[in-house]
Amino acid sequence: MSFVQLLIDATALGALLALVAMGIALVFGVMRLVNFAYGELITIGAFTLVLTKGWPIVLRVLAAFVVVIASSLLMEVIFRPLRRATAATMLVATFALSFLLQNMFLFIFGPQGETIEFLAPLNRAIEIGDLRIRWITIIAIALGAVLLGFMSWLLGKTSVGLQMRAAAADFTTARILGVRAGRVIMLAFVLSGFLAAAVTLVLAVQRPLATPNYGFVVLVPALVGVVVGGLGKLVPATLGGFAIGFATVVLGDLLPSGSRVFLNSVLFAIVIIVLLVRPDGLFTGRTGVAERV
Amino acid sequence: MSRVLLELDHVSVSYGSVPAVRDLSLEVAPGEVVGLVGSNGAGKSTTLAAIMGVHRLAAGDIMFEGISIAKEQPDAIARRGVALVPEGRHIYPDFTVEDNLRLGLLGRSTREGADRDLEWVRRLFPAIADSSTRMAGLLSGGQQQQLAIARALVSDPRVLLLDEPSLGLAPSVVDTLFDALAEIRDKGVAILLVEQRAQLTVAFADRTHVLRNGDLVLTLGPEDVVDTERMTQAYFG
Repeated sequence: MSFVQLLIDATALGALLALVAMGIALVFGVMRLVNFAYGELITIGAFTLVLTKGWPIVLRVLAAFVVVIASSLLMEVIFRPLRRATAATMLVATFALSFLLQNMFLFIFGPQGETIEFLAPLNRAIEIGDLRIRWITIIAIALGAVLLGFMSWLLGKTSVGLQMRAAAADFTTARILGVRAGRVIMLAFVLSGFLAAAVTLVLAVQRPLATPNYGFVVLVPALVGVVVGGLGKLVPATLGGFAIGFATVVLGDLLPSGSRVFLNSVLFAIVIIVLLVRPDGLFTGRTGVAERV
Repeated sequence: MSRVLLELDHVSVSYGSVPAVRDLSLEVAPGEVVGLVGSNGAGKSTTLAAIMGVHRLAAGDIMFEGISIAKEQPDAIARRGVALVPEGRHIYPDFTVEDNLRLGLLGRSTREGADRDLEWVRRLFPAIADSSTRMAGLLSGGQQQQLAIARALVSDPRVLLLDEPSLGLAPSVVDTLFDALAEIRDKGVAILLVEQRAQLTVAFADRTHVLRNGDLVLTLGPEDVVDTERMTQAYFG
């Protein structure tokens, strides 16, 4: 694989995992909740596309956004009684919800899953010299850039973004100042649901078989990215997601073809080393002035 | 409108089974400064947190402009016109000074007059005005305290709750701070002032309540500042 080809493919997966990482970090920021059931939002989106096969594309996209965002809000309602619970209690609760949903998908759709049949022609490649770039790769990179730019603007430049950042940094003080806590938490779940739906649309083209653990397999590397980047800090966490996606593709290319089964082992070995050297995260800086969300 | 702005009526607050404030009653009228002094653990900060809705009451009621706020959420209480400057300032160190001030605007019931209030606090605390794009964590301790008060003032409060504003500040900075508090009072904002510096507080406030182990044990007026025996009680709670 040429260097440029490698760079493009790595950036595409990095962008996708950056969006998942941001979705996780948004909710963690305002609730200190690591939502292991976040992957199931992506799975719900995939099965929504399965169930809307035959509908016009625009309506399928709209249905995916509506159902995933509504599911994210439903999760907020489910987790609401746990707002004052310990981190361990919340973590176990999200695990339980994740496995409950995966088993529901297994029961309803079976272990083999269902084909999604969504915009398959986007898997065709355009060839520029010896470069072979799939349309969905270009779309993944563009979507990642646009959504990350939008989130950066929303959080950095708007009043509601300021309130979210304040609630994430010091929840009690934010409430004393007049920040409506419930509204800010709800908005975080809406935004993270929006990101999950966007990720679903790209994944549905790249991986056209919806299975019960469809989103979970994406959640795990993104979550590792969040921890590597810096848990609780939006920009570092997002960068961490990007780094994991990027590194996965690069390592996959560097490893000899017979050794690719060890890709995850090598990746996680690097993660362990990174966390030993920088336990607060790779992108948090040492001054601690990175903003938390 | 009620003559009394803020009224605590036989308020008790507990941490689990441990009482922190017992049967406390006090009133603050518009434009008044009321002091609360006492040793560590006397229940001063807990009283302010209870007024702000951060701690729930075990008994009693808190009225603001004649309406009970005891069961309201902190953000709703803030929008009614109660502003707290918490102990330790709790500014956002990773945000700019300007963003810290913008957060204060969230407590306003209306945006009308916001620019006027921003202009006023910038005049009141020139150091804040000169540092609007700096990270708040890079300000000195005194400037951070000024920012915390400025942030509370731009919410256009009817009553300002101050929790140990002079803590950790140099004497000259404390003098500047109390000059600013006098101007705030003169603008008609009522102040409930929690302080360790009893003499300063008794001299400044219209009346000062002394708390000891959660009980109100003594009330002093500015004239008592020369009464050594009563001031000794104030110091030791």
